[in-house]
Amino acid sequence: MFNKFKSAPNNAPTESEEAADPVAPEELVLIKEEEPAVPVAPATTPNVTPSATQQRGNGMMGMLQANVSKPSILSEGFYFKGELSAKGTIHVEGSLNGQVQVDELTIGSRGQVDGIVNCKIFHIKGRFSGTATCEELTVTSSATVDGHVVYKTLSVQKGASIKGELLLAK
Amino acid sequence: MNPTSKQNSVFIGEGVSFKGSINAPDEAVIEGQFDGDLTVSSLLIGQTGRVTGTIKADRVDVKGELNKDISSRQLLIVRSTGKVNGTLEYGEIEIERGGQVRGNMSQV
Repeated sequence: MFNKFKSAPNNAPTESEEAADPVAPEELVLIKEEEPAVPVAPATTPNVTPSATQQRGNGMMGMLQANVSKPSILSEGFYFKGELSAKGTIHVEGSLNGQVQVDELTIGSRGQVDGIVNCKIFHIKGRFSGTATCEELTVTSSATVDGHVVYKTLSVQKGASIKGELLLAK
Repeated sequence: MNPTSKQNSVFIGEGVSFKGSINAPDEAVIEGQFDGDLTVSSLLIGQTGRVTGTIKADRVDVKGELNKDISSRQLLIVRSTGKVNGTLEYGEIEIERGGQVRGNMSQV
């Protein structure tokens, strides 16, 4: 690069453009190399690792990593309407209206979900109405369920209110 | 306590098949097969028990199988080995993990 600069000073503007171009990919390459390098030497940069992964956490890998450890939370007062899809866990304390596709969904005691839910593990402590398909369904005593739920294993605590249809998946 | 000795109660043992209608003021324990109408205060279906028909009870405890129209005014418990199919009406419900429930449910 530097040699090119010195050998062809006549075409300095074009050369610098050319020179600028390879620099950009090189930076990208450096970043890519940094990611595997971080786990190799985590002791030297322990504080950098989480922030770095969070900053680049928009990719699938970042999502997977983030969801293994902690759930996404829709807190109280939060109202969501639409379609929601995620790997990992979602905890709802607010209000969710629409279609949900997730590995694990927990409706907290103040949470409310209305719509179509597709998940593996479904914990209901609050209110649910609509249609749900899940493998493991847990309904606690504070829960109100109204609708159509397809499950594989089920447990309902005393005090829960269930209206509608429960179906066993085959 | 031997359940057969209880007053106002009925006990249908394992291997026994009953078709008809039962009205017992207290308790019904069913380990065998029952087909028909059952009106009772407390219904206990053992692991080997199978009940099909129109059931009216205050409390129902299911370890076996229960089918068709079920009305449990107070508490319905489905144990982990229990299977319930049909239309359910209940005051309170409790289903242990592993218990199977299929059908329409409504709270009284």
